[in-house]
Amino acid sequence: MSLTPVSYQALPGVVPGSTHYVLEVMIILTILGVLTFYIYYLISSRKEAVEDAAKDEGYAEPSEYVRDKMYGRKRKADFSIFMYDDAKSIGLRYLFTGIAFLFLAGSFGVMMRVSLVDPNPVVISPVLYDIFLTQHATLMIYMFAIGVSFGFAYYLLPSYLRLKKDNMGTLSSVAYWIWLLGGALFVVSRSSMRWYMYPPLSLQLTPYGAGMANWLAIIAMELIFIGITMTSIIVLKIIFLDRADDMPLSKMPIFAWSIVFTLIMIVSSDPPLMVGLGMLFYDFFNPIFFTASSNTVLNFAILFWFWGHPIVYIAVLPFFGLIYEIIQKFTGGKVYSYSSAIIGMGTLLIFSELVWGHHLLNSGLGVDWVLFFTTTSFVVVIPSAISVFNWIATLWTAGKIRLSTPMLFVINSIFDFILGGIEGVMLANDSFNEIAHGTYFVTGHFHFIFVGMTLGVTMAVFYMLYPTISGGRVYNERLAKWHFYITAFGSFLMSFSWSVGGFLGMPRAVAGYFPFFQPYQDSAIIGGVIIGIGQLVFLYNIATSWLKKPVTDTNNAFETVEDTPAAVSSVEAAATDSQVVNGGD
Amino acid sequence: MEGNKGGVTLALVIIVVIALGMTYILSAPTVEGITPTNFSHKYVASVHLGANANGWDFPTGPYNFDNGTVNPTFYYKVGTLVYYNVTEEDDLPHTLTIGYDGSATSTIGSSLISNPGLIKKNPTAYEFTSKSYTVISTSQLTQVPGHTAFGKYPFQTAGVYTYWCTVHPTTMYGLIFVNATSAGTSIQFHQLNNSPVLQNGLGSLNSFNFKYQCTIPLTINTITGENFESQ
Amino acid sequence: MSPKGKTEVMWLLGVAAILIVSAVVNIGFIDTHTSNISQPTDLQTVPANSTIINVTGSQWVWEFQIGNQSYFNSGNSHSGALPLIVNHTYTFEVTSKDVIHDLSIPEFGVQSYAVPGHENQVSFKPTKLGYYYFECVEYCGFEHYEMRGYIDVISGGSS
Repeated sequence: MSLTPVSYQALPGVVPGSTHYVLEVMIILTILGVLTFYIYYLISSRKEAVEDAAKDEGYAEPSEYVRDKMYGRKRKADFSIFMYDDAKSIGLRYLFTGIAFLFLAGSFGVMMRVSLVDPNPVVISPVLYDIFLTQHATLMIYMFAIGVSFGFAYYLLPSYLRLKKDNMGTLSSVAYWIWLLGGALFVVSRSSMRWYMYPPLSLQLTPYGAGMANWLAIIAMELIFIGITMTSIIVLKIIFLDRADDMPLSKMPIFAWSIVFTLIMIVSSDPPLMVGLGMLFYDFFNPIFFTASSNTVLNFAILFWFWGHPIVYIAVLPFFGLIYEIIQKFTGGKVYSYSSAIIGMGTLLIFSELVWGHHLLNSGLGVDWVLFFTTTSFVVVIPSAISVFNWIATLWTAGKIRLSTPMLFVINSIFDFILGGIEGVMLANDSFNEIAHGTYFVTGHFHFIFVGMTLGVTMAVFYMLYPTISGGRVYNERLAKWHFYITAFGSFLMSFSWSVGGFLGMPRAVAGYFPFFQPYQDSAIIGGVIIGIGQLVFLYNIATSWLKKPVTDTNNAFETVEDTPAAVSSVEAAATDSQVVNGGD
Repeated sequence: MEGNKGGVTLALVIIVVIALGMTYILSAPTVEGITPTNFSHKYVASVHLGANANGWDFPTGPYNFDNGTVNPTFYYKVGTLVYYNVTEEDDLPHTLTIGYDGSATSTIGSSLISNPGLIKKNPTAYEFTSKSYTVISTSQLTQVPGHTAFGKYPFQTAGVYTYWCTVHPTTMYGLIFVNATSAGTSIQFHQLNNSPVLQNGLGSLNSFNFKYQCTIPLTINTITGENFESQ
Repeated sequence: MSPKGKTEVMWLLGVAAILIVSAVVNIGFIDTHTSNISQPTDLQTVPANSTIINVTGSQWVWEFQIGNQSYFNSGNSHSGALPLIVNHTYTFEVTSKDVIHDLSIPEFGVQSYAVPGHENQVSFKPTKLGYYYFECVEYCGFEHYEMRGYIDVISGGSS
């Protein structure tokens, strides 16, 4: 059948102000960003004071003085983290921004769940559901997962690697603000094109298509990519070049390795998509790249998923490394096999670049495509199996395991990762993929891993860093355990309900559904709301425990490693006993 | 933030971020580009069309308007609320759907103004149906000849519109020109006869005993038309 | 090799064994069911004795054309379901008028993207009578969730 190519042009809105409104908000945000920079540079005339102080103390590099004396290991969180540019301040910046986006995107997720109580979209318009859907996914991946990963990297690596200097602050700061501006503009655009932005839908600038300001969303995505690519290169430089001289790569902590692999994946996989987004943006004005007439529509999907698969590993790989570190802390022992840990994560990096086609098995790209990518998808399980074995073996051979909240989160994350991983292996089978692609089975698969591991380990690390971040306070352990149990139960209920419903064919990304899917939607809604309640418990815990007086010193379990020679001497060098995270109730 | 307010500040910031974000998203426009959200108008017009698969025409029967014109072109002034009366002339499903081509200065709009013959056959491919508005849908028709369905549309934006039937887009399509300014505009219509307009839905417009019917002009003449104020 | 190393190798061999079996079964499935896998249209590989149905996805409706008869998706209701004859092979030639859609019939294990400018082909044979639902599973905009309906597999005369 012959198909006429469709060309699009922007329509005047019935409410002509709305596009202008979006533009105004965008301009205001940019002006605010520029003003912030100006204030920052005013403040950073503190630089000269720091340089003088450093000279007095005999430091050749002011950044080394900053690292040791001012914001060394005990960087407390306050608003100055947005002003100062040492690594720990930037780390806290990313961490808190990531957590803020976790709550924002999480509220969108809960809103989506609640709107599905009825098989017909009666709670909110399907247009709004589609916007929430897009915003939830994009913000969670690019702002929360990557944000807290960078946050932990900047915060922990100076101590882990005993950095010799810390002079990448200004560039890191610029990358942070570009990333944040991208995230903010993405929300402003109210895009509804899903997180993978397929044309021709993403070129339909209407509320019924991709959102009236979707062009802004594409710009926002490019800004996010510029920010994270810059950060990746900067942190790779820090790890490879600024490490202490007595720390060869083969002795680097596993977390540092996990960050290295994550950043290599970012830098190697995102250029095709950045180019693809540029081509997509050009198509708004002159559709030549992804057009039906030249049968090039699927090319964007190919460019996207080349990045789209590595990004989901990027969102979990730093947490692999953190799990190793946390297990070591809570068992007082060492990892079962250091080299297996590195090999497991390194081969995951390599294979993740070979499996991405499994997101397009039903697109009609040919049987050879299916053969290749399903087979590689089976092979990619082996690196994950290495990691799972290593974690469990470390726990198995440990003397004792202290089961306070961070450790509980870690154990649950391993459990959920195994479940999600098994579902992934199921999806690699083409016979099953034909049934389950595009259904809630896939949603259940990755929510097991993202909520169990990304969210869970983030919370675990946050709790462990709490004494330092809060300046010596302890959180309420009972409330923290409530947080854990509620989150673990809610996420299991939600993801498992989705997996069952998806197994029966319940499609995803839909604002309404066949009534016979109601039971699975209902239990997933309950699970999702429970997860939301759990995070509110977390917020309450942090808010109330911070109001109390500090009762302990500002050490944290991660940074009791051998510190820099010029470290402040009040550091407790003791191992597990200095973990005061169990204080309070 | 000094002292002990860190946690409270974090919680407050998060609550504010959620509130702002949620409000902003919930206030997103959810309505299609040319779907009317209000029916405010300055002028009123009424059209009686006959729907048959060979093309829109003027219905035969008691109101014998038919002068053989198929797929007529209409001219309105911006701010006109048009009442559509569609009489079925065959037993097939039809819709009356409108799409906005562009303003008078846009490429498509200006080319159609200078040469209406350039209207594309099969406007569904041309008009990207997701950006159109259906004034009268198939569910309003009974597929019994002689039955009339009603709809209305306010032309609040000037420019060129295409109207068509989505079931028969290759035969039932035509143009509507909506002009913005009064001086020098090319509104052209003439009253065909004094037959009353079918009433349903017109309410207080009983006094309008008119019907617009336009022929496709070879050249566009300047104004001779009258604008009827609404009551 | 140390005992630790041995345990790890045993574990990996066990995992690899399961994966190899799965991969081999998967390859076997693909090789024996190529016509059931969505691939670019090639009229030469249409199974013999199969009825071709032209499927066009558009925003937001599926149109099935058998011969010169058109069916549309029926939503939640069984009436208006697409009638197919049991034990007869059908080949869907799937394409789209505007954006990417995805026709999925979970109970038949049939799924094929509908891509504008590109035609996909997938064949299947319904073997049991009854109503089976199909859906669009590639997000295509506002009424994506409405693009669903039923297939009615009926016993036919001669196929």
